[in-house]
Amino acid sequence: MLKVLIVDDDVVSRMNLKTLIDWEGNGFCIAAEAENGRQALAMIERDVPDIVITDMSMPLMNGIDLIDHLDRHFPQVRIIALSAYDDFDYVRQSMKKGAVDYVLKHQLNAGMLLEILKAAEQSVQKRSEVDRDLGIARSVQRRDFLRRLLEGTEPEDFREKWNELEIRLDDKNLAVALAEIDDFPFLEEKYVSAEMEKLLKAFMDIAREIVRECENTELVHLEKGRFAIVFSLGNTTSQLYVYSRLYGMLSRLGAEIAKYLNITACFGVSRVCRNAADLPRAYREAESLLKNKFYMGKNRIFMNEHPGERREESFYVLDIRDEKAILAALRNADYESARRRVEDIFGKVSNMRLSRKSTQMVCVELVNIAIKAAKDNGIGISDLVDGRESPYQIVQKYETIGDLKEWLLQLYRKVTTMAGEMNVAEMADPVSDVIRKAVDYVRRHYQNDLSLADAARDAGVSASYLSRLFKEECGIGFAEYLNRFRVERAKRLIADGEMKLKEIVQNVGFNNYNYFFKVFKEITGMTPSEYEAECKRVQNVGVE
Amino acid sequence: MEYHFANRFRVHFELEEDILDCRILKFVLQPLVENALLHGLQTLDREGWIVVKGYRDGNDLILTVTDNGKGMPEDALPESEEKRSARGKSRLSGIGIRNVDNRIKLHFGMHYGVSIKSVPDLFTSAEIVMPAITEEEGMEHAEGAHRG
Repeated sequence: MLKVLIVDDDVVSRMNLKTLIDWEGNGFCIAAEAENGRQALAMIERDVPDIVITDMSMPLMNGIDLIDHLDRHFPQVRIIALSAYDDFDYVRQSMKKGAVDYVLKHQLNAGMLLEILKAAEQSVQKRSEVDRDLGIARSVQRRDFLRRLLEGTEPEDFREKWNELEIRLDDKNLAVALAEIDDFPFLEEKYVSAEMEKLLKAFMDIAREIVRECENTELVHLEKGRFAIVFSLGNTTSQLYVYSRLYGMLSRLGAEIAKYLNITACFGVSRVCRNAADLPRAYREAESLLKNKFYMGKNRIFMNEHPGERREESFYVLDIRDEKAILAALRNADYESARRRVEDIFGKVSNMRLSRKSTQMVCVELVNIAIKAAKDNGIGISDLVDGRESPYQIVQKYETIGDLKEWLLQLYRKVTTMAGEMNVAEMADPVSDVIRKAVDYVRRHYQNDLSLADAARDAGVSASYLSRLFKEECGIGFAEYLNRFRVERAKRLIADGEMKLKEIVQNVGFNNYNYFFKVFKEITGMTPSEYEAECKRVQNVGVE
Repeated sequence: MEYHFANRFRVHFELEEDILDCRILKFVLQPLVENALLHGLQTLDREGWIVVKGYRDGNDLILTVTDNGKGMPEDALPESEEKRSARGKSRLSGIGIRNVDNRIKLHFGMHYGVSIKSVPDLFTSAEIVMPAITEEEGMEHAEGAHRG
């Protein structure tokens, strides 16, 4: 609704104007009426209207002077000049001053007035867009300036720019708090970008409201859910007082965003710094404190209560024994052993306070083992993680070591569960070395010709010994085991739906289709084609 | 090399004792380590490291060279193994690595070779798979390894 001010010394004229059209219905409201220019100005100073409709010849201050004044002091106001027939000179002058339009009073009718008002409306809207753009440009400039100031990339003589951009900070006793919205990469996935913008804006609004109790504070969105809050602390020099005050504000902020936005954030708070030139140091301090999130977890405030503590970055890679033990556990669907190793490794990593990046590397190694074990069991990466994301990208998204471990164990759980489905025999526990070797041999060579004698040679025992031991420890004969193993692989390939049956037969190591058919039916109770049809039916149901 | 990088990286070896008497083709590791240094660590702002691991997996000898460097963008990565073997030729980036892959395949068969995994700004890892052949057995025995 655009606000309109009517200025005319003639009551009847004003009344005419007011009743000429349905103002409200067309998106306008008559905010006020004035009898002359001077009265009008007083009203405008209290409440600036969008449009002024003014008569020309009036006592005390005429229309021309009013327009002149508005032009200089309220350029955003659009003006419509009304004039009687005989003050044409006035009109000519008013046109020069910038009135949007003028109307001869005796020609005025509803249609004409509306047309003129609509034109004025458009020009008001355009104007506000320009203003908004300018405003945005300015806030972007301020943001960039503050960011560079904090990062220390702004040149030494920043004070001129500081004044120009009206940075509301003292040049003494400052502190930097760095806020980071927890799990931001996951939020970005969950929300479309417009929703994300709203969320960030809401965060800014809440934060602004809370830090207002500390005069002269700047809040700036840096990137990806990271905000810097720079506090002017006045003449306070007590670090303790400052900490407790900032802690109070930030924990309130944390509570509010949890309540209203259902998100949490971590904060790193620097010590007090002397002046603006010292801000980069404070910023780095806040940033480094924020890194504690990786070990300490989300929704926390980190303050440097023990200054001067700096650790040498340590170095850790998985040892081959661990690597092999985990691989073996995953291959054999032994989740518990794998989990114990992982817990152990994460314990070491935590003790060393390994950086987030280096921990990610350890996770990459652990993921690689999972992928390898899965592949050996005929499971692809796409079976393990949903979506098009690679597990390595996922590793980079988790912000705390606890979340990383949890995700990794879930991955291991999946691998072992799927590998468990591939276990075709009830193995004795513990299984002997010979049988482990034989089973491993089958896993590696099932796609080719493979005989008991081959497996026995590989394990370094005689064929008859292996045959007997196999029955004892696995409950089934070697040939039976091999058949079941091959049929399991075939079932998985059929379910994948990428290969034709004929290709699958060869891929899993059967020499001819008839034999495959017979074995498949014996083990599954279905023919391969029936099984294929069943898989398709189940998948279709899944789609619906 | 030392001079060029002014000791800004560390190298770590993890080798299983089992493989110490294994024979490998000449000039297999060097191109991979060189690749890690040049493309992974050269412009890194944190401490770079290269880890060389060697171990035995069944009858295979596995060697990996991993760096914590810049990584390679996806389009610079070699095609996935399945696609690669479908085309029947190697598409590894970098002549040095491709050469290693070709020589291993020529010598031991298509089951063996070099594969690379990489994620930008996290890591690059090259894995060499060769049959594990000990000193006494000699290289001739290796020919049998890819027949089965």
